[in-house]
Amino acid sequence: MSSKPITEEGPLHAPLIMENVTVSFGGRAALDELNLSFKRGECTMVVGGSGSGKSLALKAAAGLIVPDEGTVYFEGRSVFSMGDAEYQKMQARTGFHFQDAALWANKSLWENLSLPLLAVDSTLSDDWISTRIDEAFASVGLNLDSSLRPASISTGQRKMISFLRAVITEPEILFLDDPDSFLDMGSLRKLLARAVEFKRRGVTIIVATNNKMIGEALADTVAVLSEGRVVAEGPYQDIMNTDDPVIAPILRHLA
Amino acid sequence: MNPYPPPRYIELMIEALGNRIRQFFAQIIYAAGFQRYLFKETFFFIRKRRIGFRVLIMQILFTGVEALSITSLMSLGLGAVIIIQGSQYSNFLTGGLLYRILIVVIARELGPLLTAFVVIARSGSAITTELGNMVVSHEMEAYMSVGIHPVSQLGVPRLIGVAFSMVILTVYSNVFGLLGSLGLSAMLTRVRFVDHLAGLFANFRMMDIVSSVAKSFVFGVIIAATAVYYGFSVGGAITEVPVKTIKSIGMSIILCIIADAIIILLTNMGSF
Repeated sequence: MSSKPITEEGPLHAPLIMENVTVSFGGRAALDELNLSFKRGECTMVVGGSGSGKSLALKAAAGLIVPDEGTVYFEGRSVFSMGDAEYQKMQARTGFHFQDAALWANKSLWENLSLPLLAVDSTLSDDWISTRIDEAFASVGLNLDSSLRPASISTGQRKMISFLRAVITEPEILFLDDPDSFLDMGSLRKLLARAVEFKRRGVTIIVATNNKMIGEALADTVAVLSEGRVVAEGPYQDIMNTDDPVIAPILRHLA
Repeated sequence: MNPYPPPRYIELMIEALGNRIRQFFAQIIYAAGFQRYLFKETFFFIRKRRIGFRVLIMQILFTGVEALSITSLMSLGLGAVIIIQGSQYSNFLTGGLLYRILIVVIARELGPLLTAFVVIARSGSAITTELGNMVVSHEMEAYMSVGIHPVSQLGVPRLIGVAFSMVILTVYSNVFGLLGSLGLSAMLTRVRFVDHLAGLFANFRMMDIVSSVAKSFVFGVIIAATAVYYGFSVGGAITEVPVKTIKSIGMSIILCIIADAIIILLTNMGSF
């Protein structure tokens, strides 16, 4: 099935739907028939212990890995049955902030930030791109020489550049994979302020984190993952205040 | 009843063999799909040149320019060996046979093949290693996340760059090898260099040039396509990178030798 009918849970209401997504490694299911839908303009926080499949779920939702079974619908279209052009257009409308930054090591910071813009419009002038990059740096209080390579800056700064790369095209859906790792409190607050601003503008945010501060600032709903399965899903406050014997121990480990 | 039933050796063996055969064919199908996509995207490169142009220039610089010294030294050495070995036979250095042997060995046969081996060792291995490391560090996923297919961005410029560089390197090493060996021959005999040059041109055939250029281009495509494929086939572990690099080098050498044999057959059809 390559398209999904427009229903209450359909593309207008929830632009991104994961349906029975299963991803296995060496015969072990890292994601096991995962069903999640992400509502437009809302922030979903994906929580779970180490190895519960948070990052994998985000990558599958973003169409960066192909599941063994199931599919992901973006505005009603199955991501994995899209043609090249359609898939690239979809990716241009989303932004992904990687857990380990994943900056292109052999490119300067300027190139790392200009490439997403050029992918959207290859006719943009270098001057326009430079202005945009300066604004992006200023928005999170970074004062860096953009000709530097990622190896020349700190891990925390690389994470911030990775965040800027995800948001520089002003995406409609933003994936944040463990955004607080390697960041000091000041940088995290700046990143969060930008994320809140995006949410206010109607951007759909999906964040994989075990950090309550991020949840308090952004999350509308929470999906709790354990061994690749969704064990609980619901409004943020309801989930956080649950005394369910299965879910409460997982949430107790939130930072 | 026997509490220790005999192991099912035959069944296990057949099962393992079946799995290996299934994996082999699955890999062939995947490799064919990958190469089809790589070549398809190559035709669209001009449309996306702004994004991949820098990668192309860097590839030409690394493969075509930085390898000039090693290939020229190699072809000069090859020519010198022919001249020194040939000088042991009377009239070899002054007869017309010298030019045909130099042309056949340097321009048509060993020149392109040895240049290909140099490019496999330098660029093929470097491409697989670099791409493999990028897979491990999630840089490929980062390309996908911004709407750029990593094969188009990283594979296509390398394919074009290596194929183009191979042709340039082969032409350069042919010129260097032929002129160098004639210079050496002029020093060893009383025949003037210009007379050697005239003799060389008189013995050159169009098929020599066509064969040399065709071989170098085909070798370049094979080396790049193989190196890119193995680079992208690295999984998540850094230890896979050297394994895939070794496989890439071995496969490139085998495919170049097979291609060489096919081109020799095609360009010598009339001789059989």
